[in-house]
Amino acid sequence: MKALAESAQVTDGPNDKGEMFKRPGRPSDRFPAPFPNEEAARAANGGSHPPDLSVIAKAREGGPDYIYSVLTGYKDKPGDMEMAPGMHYNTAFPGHQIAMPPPLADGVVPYTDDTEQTVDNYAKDVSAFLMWTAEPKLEQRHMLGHRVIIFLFVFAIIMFLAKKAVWKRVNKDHPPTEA
Amino acid sequence: MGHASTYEPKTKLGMWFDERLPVARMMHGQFVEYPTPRNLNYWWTFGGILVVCLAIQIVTGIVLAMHYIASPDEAFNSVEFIMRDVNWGWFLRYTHAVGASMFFVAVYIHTFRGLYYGSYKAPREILWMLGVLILLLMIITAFMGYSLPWGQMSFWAVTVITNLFSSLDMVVPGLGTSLVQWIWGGYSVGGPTLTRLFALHYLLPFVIAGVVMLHIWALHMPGNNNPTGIDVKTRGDTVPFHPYYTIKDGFALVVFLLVFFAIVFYAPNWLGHPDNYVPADPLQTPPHIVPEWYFLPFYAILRAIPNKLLGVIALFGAIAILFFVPWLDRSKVRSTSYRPIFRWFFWLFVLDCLMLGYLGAQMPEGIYLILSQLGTLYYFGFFLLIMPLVGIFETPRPRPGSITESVLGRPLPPDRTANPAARPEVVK
Ligand code: HEM
Ligand code: HEM
Repeated sequence: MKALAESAQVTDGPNDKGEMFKRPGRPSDRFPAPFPNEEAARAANGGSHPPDLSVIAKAREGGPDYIYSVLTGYKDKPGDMEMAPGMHYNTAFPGHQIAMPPPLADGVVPYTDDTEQTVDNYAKDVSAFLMWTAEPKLEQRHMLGHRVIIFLFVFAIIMFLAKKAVWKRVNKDHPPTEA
Repeated sequence: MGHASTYEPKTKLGMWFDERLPVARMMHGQFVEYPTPRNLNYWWTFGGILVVCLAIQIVTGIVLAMHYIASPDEAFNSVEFIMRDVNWGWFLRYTHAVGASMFFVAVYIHTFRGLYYGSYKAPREILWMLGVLILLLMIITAFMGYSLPWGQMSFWAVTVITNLFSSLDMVVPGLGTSLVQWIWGGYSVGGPTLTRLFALHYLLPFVIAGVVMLHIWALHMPGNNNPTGIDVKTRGDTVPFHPYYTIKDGFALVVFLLVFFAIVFYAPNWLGHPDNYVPADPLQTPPHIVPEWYFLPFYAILRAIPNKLLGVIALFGAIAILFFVPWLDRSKVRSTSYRPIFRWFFWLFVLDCLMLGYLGAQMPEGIYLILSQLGTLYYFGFFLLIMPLVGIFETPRPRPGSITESVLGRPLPPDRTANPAARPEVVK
């Protein structure tokens, strides 16, 4: 993690001379943004602004499954379809025209084991990673959840038995006919 | 309040205090001895659950407010900061967000319970009206809360709902527009709007807490209604609140929390909308603007009416009409269990509200629009026609002579039945 972060150069500052400087990244840094500003991003992408992907897996109906479908959804356009200039045909994207060029191709990134280097496997990894960035506490949440739910379940049973025991007394201590 | 206190302070300090400020005596009288009908079912546990819901919202809300930043540039990121970098932040925020939904689940059950058992009828009209006031305040509070994360849905919901006031232009030209700009604090929804929504979102829950105290005070004057709708006649019709109802409410509360936290830990975004994880963008309208699920029936009513002003009037009317329920219902019998005809209309009304909820999430066109209009018609017809008329023409089923008889399932021997003339004294 640390080594990975150090491989990026991050702009920090200003220092005591009022200048910005570069330093190796730390795990607590944000991802360096690929474009200096929104206009540059639009100019490089046929007028569309690439969204911040940190919470994208929660911001789309279908979550990671949707992301996987978009990544693997680049197909040849049906013959009769009119595409806007610079757009790419995609089966999963609403409207089927997406400005993002296909980001993945077979064999672009080697795996350290003998996993097949296919778009399909890359797409699975990317969507799983984006689900993690959207919800980094998910695992912790489930772990705590198990304990809380078990506790409440046992507590509910105890309360139920206590309630029964208390209400057993009701006719003896508070006879219904007492005027 | 209607019973003598048997509170005996046990220590010197307790006695000293009791002579000066008898809070402990009051608490003992109202939450320990308080004579409660012995036949309350689980629908009566939601009042206690609601108190806990309000407490959860206030506690989690205050801690969230310590980290949240109410500015259009920062709000969305500050919520993500809470989710990632604040210790336990994800737990606080999910509990607050799911808590709002659970609060509404409980309050709707509580309100339908009141409608079914005629708990709004004399002498509980003020109790009921305070309840309706709480409901109104809750709706406003939750609407404001939902705006705070400043996602796409937050922003556009604020835009659509505040814009409703511009329909007043149809009455006095210019009035609506001025009002909307006054609410926004500018010419569009922006920074000033967000900060005022936040200030009021912080304030209103405490106002709700105050009204809840009055609500419970108004409850303890006549005492609880009960599933038979028959007044308490003897001491034997009641049991002390503690331990009988503390334990029953406690059990129900734990089961409620079990469901609550199952959602918080395993499906916290189930009741939310994905678009609210997209930061607000004033230049891009989402294709389909929908409010939170608990507003959907009202949203369906708003959109069922093609005229904007009339739609807004219907929207507010849908809540306002609840204030008049104690006088719209002409029946002499409280509990719907003994009302063979009204019963059908009641359950149809519940279905109608569920249907409107479903329709509120659909586009208002074609069959959906027609169904919304029928649903709206029945909603108002239920209060304005069915309640008064059925009350007059219906013959109620025979009711048990007393709460005790209904518990025992048989009439009491005549000599043991309390003299109804002595009723008020017996209870006091
Ligand atoms: C924060 C919201 C609320 C809280 C904390 C609250 C609290 C309570 C409590 C503790 C009780 C006694 C226990 C019970 O009957 O469940 C009660 C009774 C009642 N509430 Fe509420 N309430 C709230 C909202 C409402 C609303 C929105 C309505 C109606 C529109 C309402 C109408 C009533 C009625 C009619 C009763 C008397 C029920 C009976 O004795 O039969 N309340 N409330
Ligand atoms: C009647 C009680 C309350 C209700 C129904 C309520 C409802 C809501 C709702 C629906 C949200 C949006 C949650 C989301 O989707 O992110 C929210 C957010 C928020 N509320 Fe409340 N709330 C209540 C009380 C309070 C109180 C008493 C405070 C502060 C003292 C508070 C502070 C906040 C803050 C800071 C946020 C923004 C952070 C976030 O979105 O999680 N709330 N509230």
